Amino acid sequence: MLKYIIVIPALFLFVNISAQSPAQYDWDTTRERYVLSVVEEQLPEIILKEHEEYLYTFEKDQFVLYNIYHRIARLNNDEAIQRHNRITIPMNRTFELVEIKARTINLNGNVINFDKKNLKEVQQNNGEGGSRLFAMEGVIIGSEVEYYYIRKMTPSLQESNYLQMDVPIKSLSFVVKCPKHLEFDFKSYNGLANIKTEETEKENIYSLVMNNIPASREEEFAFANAKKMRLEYKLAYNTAKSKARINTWDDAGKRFYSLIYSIEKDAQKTVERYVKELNDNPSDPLTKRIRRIERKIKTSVRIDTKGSGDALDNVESIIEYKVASPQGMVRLMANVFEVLNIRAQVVLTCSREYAAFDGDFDTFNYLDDYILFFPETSQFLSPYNLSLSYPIIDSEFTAQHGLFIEPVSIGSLNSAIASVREIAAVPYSFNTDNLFINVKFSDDLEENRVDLKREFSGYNSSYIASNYHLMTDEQKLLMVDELLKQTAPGLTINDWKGVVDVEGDVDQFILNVNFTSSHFIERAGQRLLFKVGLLIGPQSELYNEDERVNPVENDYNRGYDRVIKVQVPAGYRVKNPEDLDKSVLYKDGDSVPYSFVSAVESEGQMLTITIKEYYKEIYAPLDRYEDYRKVINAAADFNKVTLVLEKK
Amino acid sequence: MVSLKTSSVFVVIAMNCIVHSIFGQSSSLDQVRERYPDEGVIYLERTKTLMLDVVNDSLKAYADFYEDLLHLKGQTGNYTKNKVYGSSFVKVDNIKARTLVWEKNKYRTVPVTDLTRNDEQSDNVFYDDSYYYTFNYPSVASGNRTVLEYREVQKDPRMISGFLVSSYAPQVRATFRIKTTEDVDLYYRVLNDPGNRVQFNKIRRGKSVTYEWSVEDVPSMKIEPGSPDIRFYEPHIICYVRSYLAGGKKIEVLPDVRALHTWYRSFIRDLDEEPSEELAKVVGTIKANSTNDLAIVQGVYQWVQSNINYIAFEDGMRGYVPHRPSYTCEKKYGDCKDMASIIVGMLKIAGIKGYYTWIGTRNKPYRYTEYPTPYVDDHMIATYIASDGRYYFLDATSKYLPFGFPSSMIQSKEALISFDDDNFEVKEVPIISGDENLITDSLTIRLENDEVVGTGSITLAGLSKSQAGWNLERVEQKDVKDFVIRIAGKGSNKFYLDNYTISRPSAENGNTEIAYNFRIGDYFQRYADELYINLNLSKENYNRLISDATRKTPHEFEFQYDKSEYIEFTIPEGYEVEYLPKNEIVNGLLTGCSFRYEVLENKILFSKQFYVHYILLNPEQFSAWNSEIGKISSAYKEAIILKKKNQ
Repeated sequence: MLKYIIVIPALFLFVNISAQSPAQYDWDTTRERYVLSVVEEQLPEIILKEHEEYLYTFEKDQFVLYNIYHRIARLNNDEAIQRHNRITIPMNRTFELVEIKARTINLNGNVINFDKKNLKEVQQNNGEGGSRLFAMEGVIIGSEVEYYYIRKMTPSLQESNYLQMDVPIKSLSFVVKCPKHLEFDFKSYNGLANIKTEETEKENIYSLVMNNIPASREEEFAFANAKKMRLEYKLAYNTAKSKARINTWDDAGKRFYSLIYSIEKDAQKTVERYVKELNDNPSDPLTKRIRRIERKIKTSVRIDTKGSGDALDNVESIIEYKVASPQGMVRLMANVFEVLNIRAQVVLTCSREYAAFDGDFDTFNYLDDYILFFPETSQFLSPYNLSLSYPIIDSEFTAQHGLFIEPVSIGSLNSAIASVREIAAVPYSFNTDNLFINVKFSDDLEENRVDLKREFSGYNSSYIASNYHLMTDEQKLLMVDELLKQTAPGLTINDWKGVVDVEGDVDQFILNVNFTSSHFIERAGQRLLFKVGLLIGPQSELYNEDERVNPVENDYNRGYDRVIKVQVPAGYRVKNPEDLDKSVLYKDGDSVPYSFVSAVESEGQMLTITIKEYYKEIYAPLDRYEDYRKVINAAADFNKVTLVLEKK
Repeated sequence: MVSLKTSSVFVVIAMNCIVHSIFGQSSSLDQVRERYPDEGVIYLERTKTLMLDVVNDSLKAYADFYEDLLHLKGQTGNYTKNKVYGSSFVKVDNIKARTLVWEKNKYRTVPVTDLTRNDEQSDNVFYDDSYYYTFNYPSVASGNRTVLEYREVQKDPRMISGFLVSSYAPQVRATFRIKTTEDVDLYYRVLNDPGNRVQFNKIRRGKSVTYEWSVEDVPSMKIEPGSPDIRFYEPHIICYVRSYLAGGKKIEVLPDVRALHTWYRSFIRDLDEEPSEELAKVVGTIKANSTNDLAIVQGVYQWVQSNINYIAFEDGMRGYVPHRPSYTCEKKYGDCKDMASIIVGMLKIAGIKGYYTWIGTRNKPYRYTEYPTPYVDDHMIATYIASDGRYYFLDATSKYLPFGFPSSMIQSKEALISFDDDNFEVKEVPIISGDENLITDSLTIRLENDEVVGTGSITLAGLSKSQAGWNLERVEQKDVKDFVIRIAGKGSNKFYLDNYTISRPSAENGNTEIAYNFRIGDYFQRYADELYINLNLSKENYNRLISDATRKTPHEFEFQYDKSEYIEFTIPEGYEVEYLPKNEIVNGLLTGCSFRYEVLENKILFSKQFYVHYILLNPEQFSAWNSEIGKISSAYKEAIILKKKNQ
């Protein structure tokens, strides 16, 4: 989102070289259909060719990029056709679509060429963005669809390309060419081949060829994209100017510092005035101050992620009109905290869903999103995710590294030092979903009366905590109904109360409900079968289908404490209370990062079940996957516990 | 998935120009807060004023919208951004938006200055020439108001739209006006207003006439999971112009279905062609393999289903005018109109009459006879009438639909079947009965250690087969497997699908069959010498009661279906039956189920016949539904007891 905020500096001026001719590219006009192996022929879809080129060149002193994209796919079923018969060419940063060719080659060798007059244009943002669209023509089962296009674009100084797909790729090639005085650096991830460098008289040529790339795999507790083969590259040197590396972490630190903190003098005064509206009390504990300021700002300023225009970035305008871009919100908050003398550092990172931040490769592609770090508490704040509040930030930015920008003052000069550090995930105790349940049976033993208290905190409470005050009573009831229906379809709510608590160290939503339900009782002749395990709500089983390929990656740490008290009907006894004792521990040396333990105690007609379940660490290694799965499945197993009640 | 261009009939919202806002003082603000203590925003005014002017010989139509929204809670995120839509048929003009900021006991106006224009993009329509302007209101806060005015200029007076009374926020007052003259013959009607809350006035001033509908204190519209389109239950006003007088001459606009049909015929006038070699060859092959006309129709329909991929382009009149058959044949893609056109064209090559047919999907509540306008339909199919008089509604956009079935989305709808320029028929498409959409699941199960182990075979017919179709044609096998688990899964979340095979239907046998092996963990209980097992491995709609405290709108279901389940359970060695549940029959109008248990040597045979027989369930039917579901759920609770034999 933020990659392009760094304006291309005048790196390329005064380098007088003759203009290269624009990209020359064509396909094999007379080619036959691919000859495939039996296995390949049977795949629903296979990418036969995936080729991409980035050609950096100068045209009349203008630095431009030609991007060539060429794909051939064999389509063997309906979904494969659906995925490839509608082509969208993104036109952001694009001056011109220089060329587009597309054709379909069918089983009988018939070639249907795309008619360019059917190319459509879609404009976005007053014509600043948009795309070109077309439908592949003549596609049927067994078709090979082929297309390539060339776009003339504003060059970017870094690119990130996933070079693995959810279907196999038979042949992959990737090329970057640039004038001799520019040098790019590359890094391959997740098993992708390395780039080979070749120098000609006028150009640096970087290329990569790889065959038979397997399909990527979607797995639970793993982010598929982050595990795909990926190529990162960046412009690292402009030897015409200097031998020093460019666009380093340090450069990033200084530029982002200036971007966030340089505001006009008038704006400074406006911020100072605005701060007075925020009711800060400097004698309060720091956590309380930060949370209150954040809440004040987030409940009055709206975020516009799609809007354009400087006003959304301008602090004065944001304070006046209460609409901000994400970056505008960071500027507002950073300057507010500065005025209040609350030390905060801007941190830039990217989602774990996209990639693990690699501190060893200084590409701005990793600087996708902002968070704020408070060194005195070592906690973070998400400035423009309005449903989260300190110290809870978007989980995909945690258990990840980031670029921390620490302001420094040398005399009257303000600047910043950048360093790559870890953004720790918050502990499991911050993200709870606790349950306290009392169950009784009706006199006719047809239904249960249940008192249920559910405590959500952290990530589990964030949506409700941030929206509850905006909901009408009707919407609140609907939400509670939806929540409980998952546990007991067809229940009758007798009474309920919901409370959002934002005064503590982390947001909480506490729900108290009294309901009646027949859902937990089944019968076998004179026996009552009490489905006590269903009271904790549906838990999903983690199946072990194919061999696991990725280590375990959790969204966030979390804990579940549950206490269920069952009043066994008079005259009945439970035949199998021991079924409630379960203990599944994942041990790692002396520590137990994942655990599910349930235990039962009986006193008179009262059965007390205590369950402690938690996930204390984000990552677990691949070779411990089975152990992790057992803990996850312990909750699903608990769902199946059925108590048999028989007359004494 | 459907594509005739009648997009947003009632583009949300509101109103006229010079209505004085009904308050401007803090005391009134308090009153409103008191009246709506719970709401984040309310409309003080929402007005649409439709002008119908006869200019020279033609009828000019345009509408002015006005909306005035008061914010009552701090940050009302969703309401601070707004959109105004236009298309090649409705030009949007003169957008004026502003925030009224409450300061020092009066309102200060802050205008919206940045409008962003975007072309519309949606999942269903690949290319759409409609567009929207989007903008942010500045300084939105409690007590402030956001005001929007704009004009819609209608290119064709046959496409004038009515007014949806309710909106996403409650309204102090909503008003719809039509300003015109006595020369314009107007039809109008209020729908879904059982309490007669919509007040109507007709005001004459000289030759000019103003029709005005207004409602005070309008609650926000309700949209709930499974609700049909809001026009099925929310109050709204429909209108159209029958004709007008210009220079003493009566000029027809849309007086009746006949006029609508005549207009529609102009869209398909130029589709006749000399067929391409390829198309002629395809039809030739189908004909050669068919023994009678019906077989040819089936062949043509199925060829289009499997060879023409659905892609929709909404581009000006292309939203109404189909491509020629040979064009679609060459491109191998098209929208509903193109598929209708190629079917009619191919039948013509084969010497068989097929008819262009316009139809509304179940998103549209209207009938041609009542409201003969383009708002009735949003879809096109072909119709074939067999020699025995049976109608075949050929909707090739449903790729996996068995021949002879209408697609689920046109059941119960009126089809406008066009025979030629002058002749047509309005015919209702039937609702397919549940037994034609039968799902059967036959199981053989036994107990092994702690698991139920078994084999099963599922057969899907009719619309059940159609619905499953896409899910079985996926690129990733995992997606197919997940779907099989979804329909074959039973017992609990410890259902393991070991393997499965899918038999896809051939032309002769239209049903899909799935054979599978499975296990279910921890499903039964064994204590001392007793064993309990509930043979209701799948409990359709178990306890799915509809709470009339929370549910206000009808519930729509894609199609009626029956489901038969047969289980042959081998009694484990050394056990005998101690208790067998009673047989039960719940025979409801909307849903029902029969349960039959039988012991046969060392086996228990259990058969269950379940059905859902509605496609639209209205709130007044909820209690009947709940009573039927209650009885079924109670029968689901019964487990069998097996006991160890005395040695």
